[in-house]
Amino acid sequence: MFFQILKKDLKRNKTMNVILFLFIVLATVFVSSGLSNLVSVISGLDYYIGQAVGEKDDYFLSIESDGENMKEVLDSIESVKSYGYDEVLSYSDEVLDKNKKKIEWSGGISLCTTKLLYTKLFDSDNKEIKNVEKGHVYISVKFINEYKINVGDEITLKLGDKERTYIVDGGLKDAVLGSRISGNNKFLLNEADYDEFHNSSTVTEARIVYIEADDVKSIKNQVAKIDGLDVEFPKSTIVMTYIIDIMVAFIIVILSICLIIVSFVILKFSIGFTIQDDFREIGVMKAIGLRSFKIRRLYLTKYMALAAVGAVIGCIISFPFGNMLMKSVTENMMLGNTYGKIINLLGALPVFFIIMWLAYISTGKVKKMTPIDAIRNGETGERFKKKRGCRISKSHSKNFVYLAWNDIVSSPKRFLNIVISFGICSLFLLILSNFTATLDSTAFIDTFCMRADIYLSNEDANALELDGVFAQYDDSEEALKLEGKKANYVSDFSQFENGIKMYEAYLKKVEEKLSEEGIPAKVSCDVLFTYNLTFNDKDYNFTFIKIMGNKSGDYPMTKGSAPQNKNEIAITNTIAKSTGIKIGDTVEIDYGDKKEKCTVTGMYQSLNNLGNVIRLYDDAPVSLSHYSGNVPILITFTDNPSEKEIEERKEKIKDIFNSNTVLNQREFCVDCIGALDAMKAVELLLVAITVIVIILVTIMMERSFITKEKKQIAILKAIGFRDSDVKKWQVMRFLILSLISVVIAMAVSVPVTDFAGDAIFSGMGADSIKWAHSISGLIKYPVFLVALTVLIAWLTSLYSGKIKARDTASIE
Amino acid sequence: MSVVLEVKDLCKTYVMNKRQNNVLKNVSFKVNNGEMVAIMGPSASGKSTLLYSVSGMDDATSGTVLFNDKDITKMKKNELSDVRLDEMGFIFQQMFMMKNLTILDNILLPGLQSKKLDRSRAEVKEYGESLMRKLGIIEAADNDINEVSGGQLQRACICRSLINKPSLLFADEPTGALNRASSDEVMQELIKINKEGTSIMMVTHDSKVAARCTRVLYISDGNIEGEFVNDSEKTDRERERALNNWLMDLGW
Repeated sequence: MFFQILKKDLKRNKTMNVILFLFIVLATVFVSSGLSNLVSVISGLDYYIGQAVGEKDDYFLSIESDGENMKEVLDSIESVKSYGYDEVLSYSDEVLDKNKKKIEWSGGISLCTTKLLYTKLFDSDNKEIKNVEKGHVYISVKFINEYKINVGDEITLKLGDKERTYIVDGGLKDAVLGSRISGNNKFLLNEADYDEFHNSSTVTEARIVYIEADDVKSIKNQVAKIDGLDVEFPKSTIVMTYIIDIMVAFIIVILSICLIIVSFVILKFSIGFTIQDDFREIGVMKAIGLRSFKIRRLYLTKYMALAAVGAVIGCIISFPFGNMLMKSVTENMMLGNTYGKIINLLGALPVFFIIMWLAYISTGKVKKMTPIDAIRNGETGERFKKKRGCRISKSHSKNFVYLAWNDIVSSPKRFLNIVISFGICSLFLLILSNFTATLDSTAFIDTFCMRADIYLSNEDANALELDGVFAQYDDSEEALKLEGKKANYVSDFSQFENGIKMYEAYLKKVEEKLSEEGIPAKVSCDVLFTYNLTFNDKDYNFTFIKIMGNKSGDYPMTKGSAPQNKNEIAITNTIAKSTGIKIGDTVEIDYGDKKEKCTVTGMYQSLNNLGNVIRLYDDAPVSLSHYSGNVPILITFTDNPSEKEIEERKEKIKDIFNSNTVLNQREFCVDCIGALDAMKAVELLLVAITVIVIILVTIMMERSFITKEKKQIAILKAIGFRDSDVKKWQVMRFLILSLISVVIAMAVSVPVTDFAGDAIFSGMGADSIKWAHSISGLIKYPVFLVALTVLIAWLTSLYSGKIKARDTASIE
Repeated sequence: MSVVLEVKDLCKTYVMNKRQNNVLKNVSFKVNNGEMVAIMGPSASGKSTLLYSVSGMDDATSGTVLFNDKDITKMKKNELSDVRLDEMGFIFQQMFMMKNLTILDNILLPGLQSKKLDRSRAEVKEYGESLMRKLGIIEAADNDINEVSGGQLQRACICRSLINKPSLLFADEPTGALNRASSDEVMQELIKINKEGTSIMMVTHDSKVAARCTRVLYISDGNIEGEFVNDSEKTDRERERALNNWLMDLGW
């Protein structure tokens, strides 16, 4: 009999049971995949770096030479327990695509082969790449994505005067230097192909070193003795370079948590609703002598069956679903955890127990229900508080609007589930839309370099004939060799004593070229140097930034004032936090040939080197021998052109320098952050999930309302309300609820976006970003969500057409 | 005397589990303006089906139902809704009302929905309150529907049915769920309303209630078996006795 009752219940409440089952499946999918993703993200980078370099993950060096004294220095450092290194070749010549068209690449390219690598590189399936066929190549995923190279495409490199063409076998994942904001790209070749390049003029030898150390802090100063040391950084820096990927991953995890909340809110409602709706059955069962415990067991058995089957199915779906969610992140990383699929299984178990707990709590109502409920249609007639409805005589709206509004204000608790569910989905969509809008704007413009109208890649500017620049300042053999040729890098200037002057002259030459073409502009460039700094008897090695060329204004400060002479500097919040330096403090900078005492006059924000950068004044005694990089050439027009004119000039500059990498402010920001595409993909995914949730929630709630209000619908029809009036009443409720949800979400999205955005980007060095509150997102998504809700509510309300005026006779 | 409702050869057939059930078989009758007609008959004889079919709440299988000379069997769904809203009033055995509205708001709802009388909101409210006053429930105007007694609720349902000044009031066992005292009160109100000119067609099991109507139609097995006209000159008790005798002759 027990199973007979169950079977009949499942059949009788088919729709509600199916929807409840769907939500159990959905909740399990979200919890299992969300939990697995959470573990993967939290332990993901450690896992990724650990898989690539094992224990040697405490400190990393990049050496722009063959590292002649590298071993000697490292062996002498007491805290270095062990180390391994990659032998790579820095390639700086042309890369041609399958159509033999030059790729305007930026950053650096390292040619490598598996035999000479310490680190493991992984393919798109997260498998270690052990061999590369002759004539084939694997390329860093970010390079492949950025320049739209497909697997199977041909790619050509210059080998002296000859060319070498390779077939692209796929993208490679590089844990240490493979993040979106790291400038390094790896080309993994067959050993024989690699050897061909070894003595070529288009490459220079380089080393990437992976160190296992006891005391990371003590290494910093000692490794400075290594010849050609370019960059050195601890593991925490690597973690920060993946912040964008981690941020996307966390957004997905937060999304999963939101969906879990929605699922449980809905589950609680539907379980409570089904039991409330069974007042007659429960009353009759009590009347014939069944104890509350036995009745409760009946319901618990039903929910246990639904929860068990739902959890198993949900757990199975969670594997592909989780992978799909993380796709945009794992494209560039190898997120994973050592627990594998057990996490998904562990995620399904709590869902099962939470559902059983919700069912247990909701079935508590069984104790309160009496045979009287069966007689009195579930109403005992007792009420201690008056309903807070509004009066129809005072309402000026149409009846269906009044009825809908009155229902909501009379029993707000009943509709809270919908507002919470829709509100969470809307809020998340709006925040993400704001993030995307910010990343697609000029919000970060002051965090990379001095503001300009146009940003021109150095490599492209070098296309300019450099006649005279070298000879003017240096008559060395090397300079004469470069004379009349196109230089490969601005860093070539660093070879010369007069490098700074040559650099300034070179920038002047670019300015003159623009002037000749009728473009009045100031041309400058922010250049990065590495120097030691002493504060409170502690030594630090920092990156410094200084504008060179024809400066167009002061750098914007978040606190204090910009440096006004060579003894003044500005620091970032990141540096202030890590060293304790504050405005007004004096520090000592070791410029190599002399030491200068400098006062900190201001604070500014910078995403360069994740905020670990100090801004110097224009005449600071820098030398290109400490050069560590530069941003693109900054072109600021002096005649205040309009936006339209700037765009026209951008195109003209492209022609002048035969370049495609001439960017306006927005494009420059997008290019530097490099997370826009990933963010857009996540946004799209969220839209898809929100659509599913809204459809399910709306169908389930509307169907349950119709079931519950069958009596009222029948009486309205009997007294002359048309079918369409009833549908309008039902749909209007959802319209009002969805409007309330989106309005709340819109209001909350502003502070939440600012808070979340600041929390994420302040760790990277940008702590005063003006977050965009996307007007298009604020209109597009709310309108879309409300329209979708109304459409689904209307489609579901068609079911009310089945209730006839005649049903007043049969409703008990 | 003009006819408000004329039913000709009305048939209603239900098909359940592939079995045809002829509930109404060629039923014909008329309700004149100002009449109060009771439909009586044993259980499952088709009384309620007849009421729902002639009021347009249920489709007729065949036959014609002329309401104010318009055949409602030919009307579209929305037209039928409009007729029910503007020209008919309904009272049910169960006092169905919108649960989130007060008693007064429930009464006003169809009044505000109808455009027939072209009244302002204030006028509808005033009329609703006057109906409540007339039926003695004005003090319950602001109460929730479960804060009043069954008798008060049924009187509120009567007010709701009258809000659009219908030409015919349908009542399906209006006193069926009430105790004797409440039942008497409700019947008293219906008689009053009828005397003021509203025609009433009522399904009832109660001969005491039926005896107070103008005419009684007896339905059995889907057919109208007879018609009894109450003598208005007689006392209530005499009419009830005469009706009971007639019913006994028909096998009641």
